[in-house]
Amino acid sequence: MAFTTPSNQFIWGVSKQTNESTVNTTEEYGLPVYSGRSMPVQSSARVEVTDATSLAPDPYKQGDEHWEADVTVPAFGAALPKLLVGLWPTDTKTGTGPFTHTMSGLGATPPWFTTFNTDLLGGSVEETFEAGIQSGFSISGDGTGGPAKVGVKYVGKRPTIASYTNATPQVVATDGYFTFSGAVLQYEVDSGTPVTETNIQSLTLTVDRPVTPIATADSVSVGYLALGKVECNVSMTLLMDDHEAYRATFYGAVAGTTPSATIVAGSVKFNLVHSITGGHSASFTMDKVWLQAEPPQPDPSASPLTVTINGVIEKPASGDHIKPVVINGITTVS
Amino acid sequence: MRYKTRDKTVEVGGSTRYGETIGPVSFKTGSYSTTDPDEIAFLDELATSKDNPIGFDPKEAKEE
Repeated sequence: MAFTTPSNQFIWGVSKQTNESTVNTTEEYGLPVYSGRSMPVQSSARVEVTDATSLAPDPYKQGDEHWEADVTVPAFGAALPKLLVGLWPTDTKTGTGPFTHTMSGLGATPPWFTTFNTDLLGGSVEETFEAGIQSGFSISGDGTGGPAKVGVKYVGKRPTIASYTNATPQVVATDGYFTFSGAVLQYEVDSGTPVTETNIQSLTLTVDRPVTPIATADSVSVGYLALGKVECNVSMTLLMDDHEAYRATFYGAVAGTTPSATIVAGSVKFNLVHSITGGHSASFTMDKVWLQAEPPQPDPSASPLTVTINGVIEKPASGDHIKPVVINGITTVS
Repeated sequence: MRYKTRDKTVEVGGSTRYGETIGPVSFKTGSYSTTDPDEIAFLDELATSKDNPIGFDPKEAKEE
């Protein structure tokens, strides 16, 4: 063989199942990745019994084979609702084009997904990952620009070698992407109405729902997934411009002067723009967030003074902790 | 059960509490009626939410 196999020839596929048992055989979206793939996961142990020799015992497979995916992809406009619907199961679509997809239902019972790997070895193995539940979503960006990076995680019941039909892959250059470059980024430390700020160096929004595969006495691959609690967080690195977040965190108000047990509720909203289509956008609204500031650290190198914000997203007066709205050209609900 | 919306472009889809897919339900006539208990549970939740354009149809309330 004259050439090595390049590791970049890969498209990750995803589609939503209509129910747990109906595994999809067609990708809805094929996505180039920054990193990650769907992969089988298994564990083994040794038969820990005494023996007449000093040799370690032989191994056996445990009954917990399942699959996991931890994938980072560009924030493609068309695919984004599909990457949200595993955590916000309801898609309310309005408009006659472009279409507004308002995602809701965070914490409700999620839909099932099939994911696909295409392909690290010239199509020789088509692998279908059945009945997965989304266990995480993140979106992040910084001053380097380019596509916002969307991280998605899934945990599923069974990997199989099975053929399927590919979707036409999304293409960065022609399909475009949502980006923070040119976006409107808003936060306010002590109010439910965020205002536009320009001192955010980097940001990450994360939603995690732990999903645990549960083996049973008779299982080879798992038949059950245990769902954990949904937790939402936002982190930002700010170029230091005032002490409001710092004082609110430790002194109970943006003008506080003494230690306080008060948690100050603020708000955050990220409005991403599309790289190609002006009318398309993605927004993430957090109406109630405790924006905890870490004390800014002095540095002899004279680097810009920054403050790190760890935002604990709380339940607002109405609706979800995070309210995603995607405006794109997709006519169908996710 | 009957639901309505002022925005006739509304279409909604989601999952029941047991993970079964609902919809898409189209409101292109401005209203939607169903007797399916899964759809009723799903749409009831949306109709009581401030953040969703779907509401209960008051006509049905009068009929009842």
